[in-house]
Amino acid sequence: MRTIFLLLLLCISPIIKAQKPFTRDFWLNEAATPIKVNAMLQDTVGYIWLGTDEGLLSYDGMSFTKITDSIYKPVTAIANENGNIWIGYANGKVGLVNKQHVEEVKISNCPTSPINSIYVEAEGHLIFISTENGVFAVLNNTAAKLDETKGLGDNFTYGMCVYPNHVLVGCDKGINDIRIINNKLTIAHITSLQGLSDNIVRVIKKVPGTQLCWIGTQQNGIDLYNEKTKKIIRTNLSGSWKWGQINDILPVTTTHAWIATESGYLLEANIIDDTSIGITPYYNPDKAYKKLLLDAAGNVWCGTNKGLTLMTGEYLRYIKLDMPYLLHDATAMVIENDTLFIALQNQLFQLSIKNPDAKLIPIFSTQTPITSLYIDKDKRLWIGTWGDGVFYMEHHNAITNINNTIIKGGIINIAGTSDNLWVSGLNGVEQLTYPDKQKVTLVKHHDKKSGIGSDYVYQLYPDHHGNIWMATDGAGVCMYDGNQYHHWSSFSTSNSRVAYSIAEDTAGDIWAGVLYKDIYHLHNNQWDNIRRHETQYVDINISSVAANATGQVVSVSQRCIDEWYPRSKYFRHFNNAMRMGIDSTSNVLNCIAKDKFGNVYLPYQHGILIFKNQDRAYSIQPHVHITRVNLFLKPVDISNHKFSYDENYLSFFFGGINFSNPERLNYRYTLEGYNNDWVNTRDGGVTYPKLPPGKYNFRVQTSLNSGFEGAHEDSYSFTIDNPFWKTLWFYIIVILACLGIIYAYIQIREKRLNKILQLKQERMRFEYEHLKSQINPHFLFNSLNTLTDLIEENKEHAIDYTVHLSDLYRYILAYPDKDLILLSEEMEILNNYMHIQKSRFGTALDISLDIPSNVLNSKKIIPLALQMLVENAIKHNIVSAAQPLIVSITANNNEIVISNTLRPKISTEKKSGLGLINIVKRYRLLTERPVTYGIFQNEYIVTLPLL
Amino acid sequence: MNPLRIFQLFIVLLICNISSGQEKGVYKLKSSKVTFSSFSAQELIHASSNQLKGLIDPDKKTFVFSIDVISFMGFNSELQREHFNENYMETPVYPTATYLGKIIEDIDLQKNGEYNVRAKGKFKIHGVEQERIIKTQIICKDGTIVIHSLFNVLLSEHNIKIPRIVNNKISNNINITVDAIFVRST
Repeated sequence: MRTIFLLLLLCISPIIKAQKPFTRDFWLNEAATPIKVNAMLQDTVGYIWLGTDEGLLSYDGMSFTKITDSIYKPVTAIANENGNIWIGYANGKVGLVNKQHVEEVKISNCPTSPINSIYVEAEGHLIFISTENGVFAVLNNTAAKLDETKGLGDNFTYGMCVYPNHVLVGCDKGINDIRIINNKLTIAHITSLQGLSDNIVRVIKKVPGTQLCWIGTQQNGIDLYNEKTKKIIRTNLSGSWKWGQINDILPVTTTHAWIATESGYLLEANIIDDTSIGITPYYNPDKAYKKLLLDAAGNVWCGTNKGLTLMTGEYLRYIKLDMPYLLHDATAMVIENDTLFIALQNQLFQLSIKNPDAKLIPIFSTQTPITSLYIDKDKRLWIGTWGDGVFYMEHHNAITNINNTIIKGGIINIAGTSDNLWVSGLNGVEQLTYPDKQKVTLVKHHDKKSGIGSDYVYQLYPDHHGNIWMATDGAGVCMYDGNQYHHWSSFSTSNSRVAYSIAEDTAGDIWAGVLYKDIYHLHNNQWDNIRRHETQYVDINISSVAANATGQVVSVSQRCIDEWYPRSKYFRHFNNAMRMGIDSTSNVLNCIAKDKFGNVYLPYQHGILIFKNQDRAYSIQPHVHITRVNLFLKPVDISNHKFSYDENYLSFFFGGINFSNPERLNYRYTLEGYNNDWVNTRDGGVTYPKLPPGKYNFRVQTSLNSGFEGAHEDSYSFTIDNPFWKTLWFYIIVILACLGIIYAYIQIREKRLNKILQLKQERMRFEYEHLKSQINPHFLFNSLNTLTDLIEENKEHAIDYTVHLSDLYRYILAYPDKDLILLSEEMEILNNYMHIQKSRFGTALDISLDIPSNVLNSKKIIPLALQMLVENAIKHNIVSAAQPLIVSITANNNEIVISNTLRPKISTEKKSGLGLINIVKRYRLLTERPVTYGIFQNEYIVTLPLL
Repeated sequence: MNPLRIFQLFIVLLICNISSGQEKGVYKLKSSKVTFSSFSAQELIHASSNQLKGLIDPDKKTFVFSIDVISFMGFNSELQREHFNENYMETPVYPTATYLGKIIEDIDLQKNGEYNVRAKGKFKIHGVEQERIIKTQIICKDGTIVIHSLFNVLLSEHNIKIPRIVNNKISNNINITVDAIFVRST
């Protein structure tokens, strides 16, 4: 712990003084007019939200999108609660972002003065709001106000810091420590009386991983506050603040924070020990810094009174150098402790990287250009030249030239292992001992023949095992482990044989810059070639590769610099298009240096760039978000995942979110279920017209280069339903209906067949009965007796009678197999019968007929029904001259009525009624209309329906 | 934060009511001088008034000041005074300028001493109110308070429009000096 502290002491506070971050300003509107930023945050999706005087904006790295809201203009506070964005306004109202607009959160007893900060918990059930008129605790949309009358130090409150059991609120009278003890509201005041530098406490921020808070004040700068002991820690800065009112503090690590001030200062603060804080100011007189935000990619965003400023201080800085420094003169660099040695052609300079006003100090010059610098384990500075051999300088003074037969001619590179000095020249690599009494001796000569495969080694790189890696011209990368040379087949093709630069990263992987092929990366003894897709039109040469101490690998090309994040396969890309002043790179091979902490230094047009070790594991991986789904060109609710068969014209819109290189965002998408091909695009949308019914999943990924391995993805799955006539239930209904129809048909048919069968049976029975009755000897005897009488009385009449009798029997035999006969035909039978009976009874039988002629020939009746009924009448009643039987038959269109006077015989023939019942049954099989019969006013009446 | 605790806090907030301290003697303004000046390349405009009214409550450390804008005298010309009142300050509409607020620093105004304090409060000119922090020198001696303050007012912050024709005559930034003596009222 003590050593770490010592290291911090040594490095952070002094070194950074001369190292400035790059900044880039953004206007928030197209008119490029100033808009004041009041609040900022980055949400879980990745968007940066800006609360400004002109309302709420969201930023994806490319463009600012205004979020519509009708609540109020100046947004003064933002909070992120589990992905929900809560908004505080200058009129005290609270809003919640819902998709692309803000909805007001109705709070009873809500504040009416500007909200300075807002904190939301438990899905909005608990909100703390600090305003210019007290603090509000909102529980389930009802606000309780905490103000001076309830013990608050002052009503004008600023920043808050919420802990599990208490809340710290800054106000115009110091800090309020608000907590509940034994069901009592307890507010402790920490003011200047307790040692606070200034009573106006504007900012309270937790120092990560400690019990400390940064306290930012209006006039007297910063204090540290231990929230456990409730003690103010006075620091070296107390009482000597000169950078203006503090507007925000951004803690990055346990010791390191950025501070924004109203007077145009962006301050870098480092806690050096318990009581001292180092401050490095960066001044921008035409801005007031309002809010600070560290995004997931390590960019610090400064909300100002004019707009937004991007600051690279967490990963990239620079040292500005003036003449005699010129980029194209820089040939070699090395760093020892806080001193940078840089060779500008024949001149060697040193530069203090501690000192903010450092100048290049010439210390040595040679006849020929200096090609290589190296500092060995004994702090000797080795200087390789392009013709004067090798020099070394011990303890910053005595210079010794080694220009003997071993080391002669041009020197390309110098490196050292624990026992040996390695010098690469035009004839191979010399493995030497370190100097003993200014004499070096050759241990071994390595060259093409000995096994390197090439005489030209551009870089010698000792890895942490002590192996020497060689970037060769002709044999690719070669590794010498002390005994033998290792080669890889990856470097055997004609355009991969020239390696320029080698570096080992913190994971022990080797990176190599290779002509034509960009970068090779060795992991588990497997070389993997990483090519950037713009290589063919940007650059082919990588001049330097170096790794910092936190895992990032810097590769320098002619017109750009890439900083690789090996674990994510992504890189930050820096070129002159970024408008940050990184307009050039050095094309001198391996002109790159590392300080003792691992920060990487390399030259550019205006001085030295520093690719810093990174305090946090930043991710520059871009995110993609499906922003909108259109149906027939109109947006639909994105939570809707079901469409009907005719809702099949869908468009998807997506946006990438990236703040390191948004201009390089590209996407690929696929619609699973339609086809499974990925389509690459740089546009943010795609339309699928006329999608057939089915299940689909729209997937989109984004990348900063052409590789999509492990890329962030968003997806939208949906279903287009089948039309109803293709659905299962429709099939089932159709099948059931068919089955029903067939079943009904069978039923009806069966019924009909039954009926026919029954009719047939009834008819046969009737026929049988009728025959039986007609062959009844009684009838026959009567008829024959009548005939006998007639033969005697009237021969002609007898003949007529016989004809009628025979006709009657013929009809009786002829008709019974028919169901219905015409009424006229029935009347024919009846006439025959009546003739016979009349002949027998004479005037004792009176049958009157009243049947319209049209009915006779159009209506039907069951055969022998009338005859049967008349016969019944005769059979059951007394027929005598004294009491004549009157039978009347009348008919209309619907029915025929047979009535007779009722004078029943005393002894009737047996089996009475059988014939009538038979008639009724037969009618029932043919029609629903009833057959009625009965006695009515001394008449027996039978009504038969006519069919 | 567990729900029970949230609820507790809420109930306590709703019912708690701590009474504030008692009233004591306030300080009343006895004499004063307020001067403003506007420097520009072309002309120095200045005027002053001794009509400032004010009160300081030493216990609450609150104050209130008010001045009739019409009372400023000593312009370069009568015409200038007329312009000041009618064109810029719109005195008939906004007759007074006020400042009321509190003293930030933990000082005891009843004790003799010399302090540099910040007064913070609502500063209202031309009908536009601004939250201002104004640095003031205070000398307390035997029941009197002497204040001396230099500050500036940006016309643009108070919606005071300057016609373009006199734009270079009148600076946006107006310097104001206030000197006042308060005595404890008995």
